[in-house]
Amino acid sequence: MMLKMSKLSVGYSNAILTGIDLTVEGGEILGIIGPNGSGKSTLLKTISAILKPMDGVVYVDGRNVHKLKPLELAKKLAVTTTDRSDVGFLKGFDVVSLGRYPYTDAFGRLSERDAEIVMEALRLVNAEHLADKPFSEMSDGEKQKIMIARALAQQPKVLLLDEPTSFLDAKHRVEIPLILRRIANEKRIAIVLTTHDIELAVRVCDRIAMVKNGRIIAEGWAEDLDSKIVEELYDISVAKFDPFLGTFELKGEGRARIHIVCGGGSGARVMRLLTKNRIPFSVGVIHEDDIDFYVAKHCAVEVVKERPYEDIRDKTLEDALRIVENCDFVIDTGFPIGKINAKNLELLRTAKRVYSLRNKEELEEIGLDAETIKITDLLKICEY
Amino acid sequence: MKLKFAILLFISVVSIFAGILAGSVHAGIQDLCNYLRGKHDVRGYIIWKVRIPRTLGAFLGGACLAVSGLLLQTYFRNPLAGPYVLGISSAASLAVALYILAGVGIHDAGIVGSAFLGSIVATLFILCLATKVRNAATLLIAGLMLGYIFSAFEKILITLAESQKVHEFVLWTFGSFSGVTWDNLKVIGILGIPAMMAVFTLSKPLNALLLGEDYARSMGVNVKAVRMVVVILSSFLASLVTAFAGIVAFVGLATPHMARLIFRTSDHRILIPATILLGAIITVLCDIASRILLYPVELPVSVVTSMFGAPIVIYLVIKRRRI
Repeated sequence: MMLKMSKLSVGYSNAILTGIDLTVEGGEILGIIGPNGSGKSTLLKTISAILKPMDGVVYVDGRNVHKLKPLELAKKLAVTTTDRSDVGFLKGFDVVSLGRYPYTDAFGRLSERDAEIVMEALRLVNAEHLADKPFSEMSDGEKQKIMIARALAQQPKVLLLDEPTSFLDAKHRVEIPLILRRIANEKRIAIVLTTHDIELAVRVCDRIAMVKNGRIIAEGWAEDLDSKIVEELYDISVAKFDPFLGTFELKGEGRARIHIVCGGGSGARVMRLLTKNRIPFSVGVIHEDDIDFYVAKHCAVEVVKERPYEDIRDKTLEDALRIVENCDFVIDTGFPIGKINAKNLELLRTAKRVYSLRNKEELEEIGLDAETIKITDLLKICEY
Repeated sequence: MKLKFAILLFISVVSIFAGILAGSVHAGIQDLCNYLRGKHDVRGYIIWKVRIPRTLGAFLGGACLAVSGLLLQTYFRNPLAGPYVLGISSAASLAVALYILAGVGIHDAGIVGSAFLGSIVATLFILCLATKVRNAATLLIAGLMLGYIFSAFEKILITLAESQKVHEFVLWTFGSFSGVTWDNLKVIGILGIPAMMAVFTLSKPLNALLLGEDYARSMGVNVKAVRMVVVILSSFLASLVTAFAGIVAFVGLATPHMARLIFRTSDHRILIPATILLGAIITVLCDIASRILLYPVELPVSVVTSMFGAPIVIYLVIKRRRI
């Protein structure tokens, strides 16, 4: 057990979060998620001994962090905060080498070994090329990498990260979670991070603790989240969290005038496009194991579904036909056609107006009479 | 970097000689040598008893103020911090105001003593606050406010005092190294040099503090202890100079910026010696300028340091130079 919180209460003058019992093993990533002001950062500050606990104990590697001397603690636990302010003329390498603080002599001189550890830390975060770049000229993402490398230079057993992916550009939003995963797997460091991005948390964390109203409302495997609790956590009613995909989908509402026939992931883009433009639609026939199904069940007003890996039954097709009859037109997303969904082609042939994302040759090949359309033009015909 | 230090050392020596030679009485090295050989004429006397202690006083005093400013700029992570942001100058001048305006006397020793006493009282106040506050920003605000309180009392005294005494007092607040004697110099040296050496031993935690108090603590810095030492050393250095030379503006604020820009570094192992040398040189040069700009009238040294320092600060604020 690398990190253990026992009956912990944290806060400034009043407790913000109480009754925290969490443990993190080496090589494991625990995500703490919750709305702003829920006490996530206060919890991290207490674990890192910047704040004293209101009650309870935090153990790192079996030692009470609030009883350790700063230098001893720094060898066991490292932190990155959201503070990325000015550090003057320091370069990437200089900032990372500050992490050797607990190991260097009274004037902070680096030994050869120290320099090696600093370079190794830079390598681990893909930032060797930033060693000579002035910190103040780096992007937020580059700064974050350097701050993580600096934490690694402390050779800690536990790493705490406050909002590690906030305010980052797209490249670093993808790259930093991968780096954290690598640190956990290769260095066997126990990582705790806070975020309000649950989609990120599901991707990178092993376990997730959800924090709201002064307590942990749920804690468990990232793969085992209850969508109700997630939606309660964020007070969200306009979107649905899908625990299978680990993403939020906007909720579709209204009377559907458009029907979508999709499958194999070909429909997700179309459904998201329509939902974010508040155009209600129905979907089907779709198999329950299909990736499009997970999107459709939140976005679509109505879904006609079939049991996994079974041919579409006549009765299901009839349900779909009834919907198609009453809608203005049908969109064919260009799904792969096979034995089990062959009846969807039949469905498309019956519809009076079909817009298809397939090209002309393909339409001829499958014998479907439809108008070809690009996804970028879909909105125009939906909003006529 | 070694070359830059060599150049600074060279300029230091030149500026000291210039400081000894410049003035209303023409006197040269020859007169100094004669004096030291035992030939006591007026010129030799002026050089030995007036110009040398004055110049060396400016040299040491400038160094002390500059280091004090650097300490506080780093600790507060604020490029506009200087040796007086914690209320040291206001406390010293309140004490001097009490001494002069309340009619206790106008002896030099009394002024030095009361200025020093005032600063120490302010330092103790700040130390008490420093143990209670949670972070640097709070301490900075508290220090500034303390300064206003001291100034308010000082203004009450000025309002009630006779104009002759007010003149005397105002002259003191302008700051000058002209009154520094060999005995004063000994005190400044014996107390100031070890204090500056102590600051140098703080290089490592000061570098860590560049990332802020929270990061510094997480890397193993005993932030509370360092905070105490920073307050004690910076206040002590500022008090020492203020006691003997009055309030010398801007040297402490502007010099650390110049040291950073010249050496293009934020590493205190380089920055501290660089700031010491630069602060010394600048103050000696300003002291010389104060003597010759409106010759034969001598200007207060703060006039020169301000005229020279304020444009630099404006430039820095506009360019948003790094700490």
